[in-house]
Amino acid sequence: MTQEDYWAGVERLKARLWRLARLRLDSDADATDILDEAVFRGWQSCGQLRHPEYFDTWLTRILINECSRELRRRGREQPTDQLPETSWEEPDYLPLREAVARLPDKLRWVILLRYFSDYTLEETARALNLPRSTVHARQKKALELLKLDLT
Amino acid sequence: MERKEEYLHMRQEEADRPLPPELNHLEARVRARARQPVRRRPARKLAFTVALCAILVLGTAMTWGLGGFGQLIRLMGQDAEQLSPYYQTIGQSVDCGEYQVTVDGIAFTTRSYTVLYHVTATDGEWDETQAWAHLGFSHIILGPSGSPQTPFESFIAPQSLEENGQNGWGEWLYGEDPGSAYYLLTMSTTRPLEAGSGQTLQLYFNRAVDGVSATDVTPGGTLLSFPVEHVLQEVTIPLNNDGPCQRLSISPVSIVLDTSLNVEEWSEVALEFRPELTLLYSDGTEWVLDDEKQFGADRMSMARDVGDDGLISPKWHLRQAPPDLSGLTAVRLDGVTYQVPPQT
Repeated sequence: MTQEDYWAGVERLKARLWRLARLRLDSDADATDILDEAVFRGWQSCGQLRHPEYFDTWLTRILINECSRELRRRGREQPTDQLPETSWEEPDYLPLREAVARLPDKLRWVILLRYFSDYTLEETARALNLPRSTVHARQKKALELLKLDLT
Repeated sequence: MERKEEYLHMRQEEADRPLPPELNHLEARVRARARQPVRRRPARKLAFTVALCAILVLGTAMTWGLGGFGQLIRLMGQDAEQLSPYYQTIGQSVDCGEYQVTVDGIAFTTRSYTVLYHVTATDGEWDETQAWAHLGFSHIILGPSGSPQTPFESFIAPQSLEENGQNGWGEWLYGEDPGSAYYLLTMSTTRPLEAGSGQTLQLYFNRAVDGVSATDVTPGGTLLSFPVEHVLQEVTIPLNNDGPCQRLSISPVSIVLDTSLNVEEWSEVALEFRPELTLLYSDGTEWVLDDEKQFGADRMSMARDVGDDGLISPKWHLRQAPPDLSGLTAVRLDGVTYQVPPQT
């Protein structure tokens, strides 16, 4: 992939990626920083991308990795007095935003990609590097937990 | 509001969220960063230089006066963050694309295992956040596995560690060395470990796809297998008191304090325990768990990803093993003495 192609792809995708990071990290500034980091790392390794047609899901996967790093860093630095007292309740009693935020990470990424970022099942599977069947199962489980019927 | 309406409303809210103006300059910012030299830590370089000079000066002095470098190494070993020598040396590496993971050592005790490994950036570049990406690389299973191509049925099972009779957490150990970060991955096992029982510890490392590591378990990675061949002696002492501390387990590599402190599933907790612990031996000698004998003495003990039972068990990794545990008769924990019962 050429540099021109890379930056053209970033330009096309950056708003979508920023919104995805914003949804996961719940912070404008962190989403911007993480997008910077993901685009930087993508640029460093875009020569290794063997299938340019998968650019979107490839860069999404880098962004997801960067979000995970940020969340681990936050977990490490979170002071004791700011830790939540409880974090998992019956999600159908919660407002949807809060219920999504309390989904286990594996399920949450599927929901964010599928229903808030308009990735197809195939694209979600590629971005998460999972079999389609696994994504489908997680999607079903997450929607059940959220009591959300989108069929 | 109906759930579906709520979803559509939230979706619209997100779609309407204004983009930050910084996004307009994303390319320029990233290109500028790429022109900067790789981040290094001058303070560490300075510390390394000072340490090297000190070694040369001290070493020369000791060669003359105290019997050479052997003593120097022993002296440095007291202060260096070295593990208890009871770890089995492994030294196996796995190429994970951007990074190389090397398993340095493993220690099995009756109720737990601990893996020391370090992660090195293959391109030599390093920053503070990189290391945290790798805890997700390893997936662990005790017991028989499938073929190397599909070691885990459906590639979901290893995520449910409790199904494999274990739970635990990874821990950042040293912080960074130049180019590497060291970790301890420690797991408690509900099924006792027994040498020669056929139990095997399997570490699975995801493959990198297009140079990017996976965030989840994927086929085609690398599986390392370590048979449980040597299990270290572990003494368990029930603490019959009204407090949260319920049981103490002592081995040559770690001390674990099981508590009755319960937490909600999926929640994160941080606890600070700084117990005063002394081991009392039949010959009258005592061994005190002081800061020099444990890792991370200057930081908070943190228990995260609490196990299926919801209980927290802080663990101290030892830099110096206590004397032979067969002579241990009692422990003194925060001023209270507990006798060691016969071990089964």
